[in-house]
Amino acid sequence: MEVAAESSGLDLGEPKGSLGAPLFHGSVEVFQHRQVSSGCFLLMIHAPELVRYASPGQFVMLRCTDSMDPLLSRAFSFCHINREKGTFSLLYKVYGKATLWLSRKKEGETVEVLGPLGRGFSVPPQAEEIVLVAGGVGVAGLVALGEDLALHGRSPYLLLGLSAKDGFMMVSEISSFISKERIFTSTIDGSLGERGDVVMLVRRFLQAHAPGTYSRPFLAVCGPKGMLRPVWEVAREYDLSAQFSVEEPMACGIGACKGCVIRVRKSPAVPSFQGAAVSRGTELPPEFRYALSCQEGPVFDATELVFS
Amino acid sequence: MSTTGQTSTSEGAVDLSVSLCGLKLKNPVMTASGTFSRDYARLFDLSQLGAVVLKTVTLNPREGNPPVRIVETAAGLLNSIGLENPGVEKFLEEDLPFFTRFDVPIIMNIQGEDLQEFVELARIVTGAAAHPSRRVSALELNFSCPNVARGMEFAQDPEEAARVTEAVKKVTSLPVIVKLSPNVTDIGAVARSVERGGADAVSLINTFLGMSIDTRGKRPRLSTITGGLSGPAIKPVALRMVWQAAKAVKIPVIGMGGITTGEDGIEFIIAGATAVAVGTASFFRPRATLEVIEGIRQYMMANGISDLSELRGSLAV
Repeated sequence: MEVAAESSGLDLGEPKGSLGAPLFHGSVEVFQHRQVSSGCFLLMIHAPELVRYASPGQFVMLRCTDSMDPLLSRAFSFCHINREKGTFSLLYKVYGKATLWLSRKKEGETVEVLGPLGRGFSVPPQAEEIVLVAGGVGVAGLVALGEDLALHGRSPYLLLGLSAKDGFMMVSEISSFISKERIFTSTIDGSLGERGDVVMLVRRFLQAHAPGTYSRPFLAVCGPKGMLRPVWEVAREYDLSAQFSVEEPMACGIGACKGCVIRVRKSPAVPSFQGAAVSRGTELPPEFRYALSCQEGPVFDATELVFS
Repeated sequence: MSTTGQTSTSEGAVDLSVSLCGLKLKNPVMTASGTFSRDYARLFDLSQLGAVVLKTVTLNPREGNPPVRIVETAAGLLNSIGLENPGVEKFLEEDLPFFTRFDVPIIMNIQGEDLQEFVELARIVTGAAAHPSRRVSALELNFSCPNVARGMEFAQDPEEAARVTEAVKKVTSLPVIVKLSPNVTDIGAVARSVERGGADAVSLINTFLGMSIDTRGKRPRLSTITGGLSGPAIKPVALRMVWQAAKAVKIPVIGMGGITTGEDGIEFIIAGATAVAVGTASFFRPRATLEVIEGIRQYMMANGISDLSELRGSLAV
């Protein structure tokens, strides 16, 4: 991954859909696997060829079976990316067959993985303040971004919303790249940090930082579907630039099945179906189109996203 | 892996090549329409495949169905993509040239809303095929996609299917393959009918009509309620239909439906298929097409079969 380190700013993520950007598929070794909180595991994998081209916000497809059950691979966002050591980690919650199978993988065993896939975060060069907004295990998708920012001398804030205290994961990992006073936590049940959800945290944060003391904070958001829209609405209200990592059911992850679409707003710079007659029966208003979350996403700009 | 289709064994050479509608394929394995993308070329050289069949293209662009478009089932996948595609003009200009750079026959799958559209599509693609970057080796007529309003009717009406085939044959010199739906009571009858209409080959099966229900909300999981079922779950039914179709017609049969391994492919060839297509398997095994080719090769070597014509239709009944 090329990082524009000059004054033009950071570019931490670019479309990797073109032939020429290497894609890795194969069996890789699990070199560490541990539980980090209730039902959550951190899986560390050694795969230098895969990691070399990985960027924050991208994902891998991991085969979670020895058989045909479940049939499809599962998508996981990169958590840590360590190009020096050639390793990466995935943070996940066990909630079904696939993740249960995965949770039983031991150190030294192998898993089959495809990646890096998708378009990751790209922090606008003019952003002076960067706020990472994480809902639960969605913090996974933001760790690599946070670490990369710290590497380039940026100090982001982290707003982390959880359901309860025992969901608090990866304390040491997070505080290695974000100082404690820049981390704000909330729990729905009030057992840790402020009582409330991550949307409340975002509002409180923006209110506490009086306008004029910063310009255009940039939000990088990752979490369950239900939190995306409320956070998006706050971003719109405060006129902030933001990027969201979406999560849609995926079959292939590689742009073949066209199953992972989300509605997006057409941008004047990227017309689609413009000027062409579109077949009858479409539900989409003309200013919208479908985008593949495995190719144009999973990270989308707030201005592209559409919530019905 | 050999790209010439031949491997030497202690018993002699093993030749995977097959002839199909005048096309020479280096092996009998193709991609199934709608299951491939450019990104596979980042994993392996597409020239290793027997042929590449591309996603259905329609006359006008189609946005496709709203989400949810895919649902995983037991050893299967329900899809209701809705033939999302940029339309034939844009496809020929921007997408096709990517694939024609590889040394592999490219087969374009087309679907029209009526006979006129099929003919128009065939005309446009045939005309474009004169240009090297748009050289298409054959047309596959999609009579059988269940996820669009009209998609089922041609495949379920043998006479209509024959009429459309005949009309397309009049406007193109390209081989015409007709893709059949399994959602019929007599697959042999439909196959015979399109053979009479002039089809150079038939390919089957497309997906089965199926559905899945979310018991919490009591709602269908797919946005269009029903969708097409594919994957290992359908293989036994697909195989039976390929066997029936191969008995019914003299033209070559391209068999598909749940093929994941070389051994699966061999089953279809024994049942009468000249070539096989791999679809859903490519989603969870990105190199599935290559694995099927290699599996077929291994079977031939292990069983002293030097040429696939020895195996084709050799079901002992």
